[in-house]
Amino acid sequence: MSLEARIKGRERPTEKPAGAGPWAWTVGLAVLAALAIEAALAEPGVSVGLTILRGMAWSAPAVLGAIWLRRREGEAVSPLPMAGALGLPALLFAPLVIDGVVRLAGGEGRMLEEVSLAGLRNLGLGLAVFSNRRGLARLAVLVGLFEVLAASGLGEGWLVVGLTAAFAVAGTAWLMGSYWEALPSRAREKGVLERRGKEAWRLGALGTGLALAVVGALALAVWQVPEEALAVLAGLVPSSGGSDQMDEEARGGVGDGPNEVEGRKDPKSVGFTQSELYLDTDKPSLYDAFNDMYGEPYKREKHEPAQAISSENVKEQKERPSENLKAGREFSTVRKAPRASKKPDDRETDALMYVKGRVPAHLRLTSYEEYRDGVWLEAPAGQMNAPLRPERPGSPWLRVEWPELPILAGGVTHTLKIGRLETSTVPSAGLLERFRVGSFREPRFFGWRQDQVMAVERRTIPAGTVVETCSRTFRPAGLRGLMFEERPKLVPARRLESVQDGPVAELARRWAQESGKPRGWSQVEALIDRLRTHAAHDRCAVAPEGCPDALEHFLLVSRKGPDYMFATAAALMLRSLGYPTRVAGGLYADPSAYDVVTRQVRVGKEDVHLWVEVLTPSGVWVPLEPTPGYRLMSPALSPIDQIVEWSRLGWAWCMRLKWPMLGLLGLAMVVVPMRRKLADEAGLLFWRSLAGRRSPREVILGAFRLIERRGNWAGRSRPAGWTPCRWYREMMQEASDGEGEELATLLALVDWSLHAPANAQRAAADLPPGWSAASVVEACDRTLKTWTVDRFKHPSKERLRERSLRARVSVPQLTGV
Amino acid sequence: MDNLAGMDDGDLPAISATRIALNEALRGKERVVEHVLTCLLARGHLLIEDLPGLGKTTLAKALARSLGGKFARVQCTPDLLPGDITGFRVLDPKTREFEFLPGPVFADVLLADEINRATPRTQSALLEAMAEHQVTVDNVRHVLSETFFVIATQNPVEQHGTYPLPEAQLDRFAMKLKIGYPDPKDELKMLEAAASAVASPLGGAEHLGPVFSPGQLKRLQDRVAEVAVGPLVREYLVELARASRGHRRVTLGLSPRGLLIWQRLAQARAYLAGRSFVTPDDVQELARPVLEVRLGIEPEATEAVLGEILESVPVPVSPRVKTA
Repeated sequence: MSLEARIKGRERPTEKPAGAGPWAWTVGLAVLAALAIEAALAEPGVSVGLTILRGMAWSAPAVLGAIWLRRREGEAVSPLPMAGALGLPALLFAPLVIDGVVRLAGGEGRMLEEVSLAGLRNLGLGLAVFSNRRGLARLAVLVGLFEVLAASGLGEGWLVVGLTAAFAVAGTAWLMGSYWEALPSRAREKGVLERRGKEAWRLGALGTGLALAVVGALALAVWQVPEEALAVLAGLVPSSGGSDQMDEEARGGVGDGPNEVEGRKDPKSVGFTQSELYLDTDKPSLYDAFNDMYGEPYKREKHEPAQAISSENVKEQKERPSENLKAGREFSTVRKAPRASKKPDDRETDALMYVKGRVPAHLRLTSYEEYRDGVWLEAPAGQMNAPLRPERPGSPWLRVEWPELPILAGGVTHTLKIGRLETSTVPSAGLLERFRVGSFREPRFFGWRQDQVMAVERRTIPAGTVVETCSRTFRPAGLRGLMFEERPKLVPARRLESVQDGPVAELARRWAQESGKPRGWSQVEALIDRLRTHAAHDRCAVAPEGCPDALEHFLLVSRKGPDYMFATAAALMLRSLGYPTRVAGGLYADPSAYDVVTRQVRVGKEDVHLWVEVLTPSGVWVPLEPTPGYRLMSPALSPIDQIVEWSRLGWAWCMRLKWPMLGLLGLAMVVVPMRRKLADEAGLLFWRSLAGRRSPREVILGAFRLIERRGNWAGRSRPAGWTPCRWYREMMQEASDGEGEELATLLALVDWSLHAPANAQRAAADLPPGWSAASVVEACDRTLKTWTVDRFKHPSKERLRERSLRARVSVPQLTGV
Repeated sequence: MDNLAGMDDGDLPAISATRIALNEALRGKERVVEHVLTCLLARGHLLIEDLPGLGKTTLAKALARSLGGKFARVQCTPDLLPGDITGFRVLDPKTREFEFLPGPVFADVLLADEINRATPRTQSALLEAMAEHQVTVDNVRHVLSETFFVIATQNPVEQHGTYPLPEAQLDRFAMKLKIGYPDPKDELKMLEAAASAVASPLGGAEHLGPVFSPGQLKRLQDRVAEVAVGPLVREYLVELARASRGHRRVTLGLSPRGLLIWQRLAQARAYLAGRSFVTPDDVQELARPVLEVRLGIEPEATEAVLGEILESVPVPVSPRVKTA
């Protein structure tokens, strides 16, 4: 009996799809969830319209995809295609991968929470595309629920609340409809179930619409009522501050009682209130923070020349100024190791400052230019600075009028709340361009304390004051185009003084030579990069007491040290090559301290930091980060500059690994087009090598596995619920009579191998009736030779022959056929 | 390898002759005929459900004549009593003793026409006969023929005044078949044959003679039991049964008795195909007639639900056997 006669085909059953109600409903829920995610992730200040627009932009492809799929598949829902099965995980992980690539390319990257939620949003929308499949529709709603829960936990504002409420109402209706659909009907009357299902969805839609209308009307009513009524209503609802409730775990101002609202008692409250009250506290200065962080400096023996003067010319000072408050302060690089902290850090109460804005940021507070015997002397008052004017008459914003330079990129804004830090400097994360300090409106309140270091004159910035700054960043392309003189004559000597001879200078010259970079910014960057990998950052690794040269010890002996040693080494090595430098001191706004809820970075004592700055020929100090583990803020580049920068970094990365890359590329060009052919040949070789040593059953099943793999590659995968014969029947229908007998024989042998009882008495005689071991191998081999991947694509031999003939006769004048 | 080792040469012509006879009586319905033969060899009972005039009775009669055994027919009506089927005792005035008059169940092939018109009480009289091949009348057990085979028919339309078969009764049937309309080509042939034939109320099945020798059917049925069912196929059957019980649109899943019948039918189909072992193709081929008769599915959803059940269970193509 022929195989065809035995295989009586049944039409492939189709999955009953989800009805139009649940399908559209699921897509709607996914869109709501995506909007909620957008609303939660939107930065403060972004308009509601833009947020909704962005959410809709994300959702639009999903909606269109779902409509297209619904029209294409109609009522016959096929199993999830391979593209969907692979695409959904890809959608989930795409933001993570893109973020990783951006970071690798030197970009800033995003928070993990943000990336995770973006991935989840993508997954929800991707699942919604396939929402005509019941299982995936349910998963889409589940993912949407998680998204909305996350959004309501993270986000604030009426938009998030409204979207959460809308999702709750619509989700409840979705659940009702799904429940109706899933009810097993015992009614035998035709169409009862469908009718009930449709009615349920209609009722659900009506109910949702009504609920949303009621909520909307209430919101409108609340919106429109007079302020007094709202105040009465607000009094009934506990809220941060307004209820006078205090909470020990207050954060972001929530539960901080009246202090947050009025800023009258505790300047440590972390909210960015615009209080006009200035409160003094026992705040530490930058130098107290330095001592806590780096340890106290050794008291140096002073060998100052003395001259006797008459007693009438001497006036004794009653009280000695505090060490850290006296004028002409200095920073010693010869210090004791820092003491271990006596108590664990309380990260909420001892912040020096809170920062909102782009991080990481190097907030410059002071700078040191003269280096003498291991001690950095604070820079004198600034010279190369620009005039300061109010932005508009009466505006608290002041603008520094710098000339427009090719090295300057866009500006970044930071909002800083001064905490426990006592400072008069306006912290800036680049070239300070605009700023406001509380309500100090007059330019005369401010002065240039040092080059490009702006400070409040004669007093410190009160605690609790909110300082807003806008600083220009620097274009990498512009910096690379700078021409540095060998030893610029106009630059004061203190910015170039260094160790001209000795091992440190020698090391700098050697590094510059080994980098192969010409003189200029590339050489500076190469030296800084070399330094970052040359030594390790260790806050406690200080030179032993009595060490004659701490810098040499750091660079050549221990190769580990605190950040000030990196900054010192970088500054002096660059100076030895003729680049004017200074060491800048201040605070490092660490992105790892970013608080997702309050969207701000806490800067504590552990964040004091020193780095190096290079003076460009145009007179601008550009920061560089020599300490490993610290990162510079990425510049605010225009899209074109950004693309150029990424391309440059990508190209540099490829050039660095050019030989392995070329090898891989070549290998990929050979292997990828032939991957299936190679895998098939390897499998065939393996099967043939073992054919003589295996039992006939194993031989047959091995051949069948190869055949199935070829079918998969040809796009004719066997569905799991189909028998091999049924799978083959479809191909047989395309082939003419008598074709495919080899495959039919192999499938019959497969049936025997899998289901016929084994010969218990003689294992050697375990063969199909009338077959020998050799004939089994031969039949399998013949099938494997005949049924190639191409044959699976075009099962009819005659068609193949026709195709090949057509290909030949298409050029008769050449072949003469 | 398609030849089944150990099969008597004398058995093949009998099966082929029956197949030919049935195909002649019911043109263009080879698949239905194969199912009928499968059911016969598996000792199952057959329920044929279709519209009037499609050849249900003709098929049953042709089968009875081919088998050569005793054929009985019961036209089920609401006033039919259980005794009309099983038989009853009457007083013999001569001997002054009660004598048992056997009913139509004491035949080799019983055609219960329009079974759903009989009352549930009468329908249940068939339960014991179908399940145990015996009837008990007045506490006396009467054994039926070893090859006792019930073909019941019912009409899916004209539901007025009918009594749908209860699930317990339906589970006694091995499979439910639908004959359907023949192709135009077959209808032309049928008209051509009928034009030249003598008009006959039996649809031309009179000339068919018995093709089985006495005891041959019993021997074939015993031989079917020898067809091997491998562990992979058994696991596949169990998984299918579990899938039918877990499906959300199935109110009554496959019973263990149904599972046993399905296996035996698969053996019979493998035997008819000349194989000494059952394959998943046999199982899938019989899925619809076996499951349709006993699963609680809405009639219009049957095709889709059965498809979903079959699609949801992977066909075994690897020799690995699950360990308990």
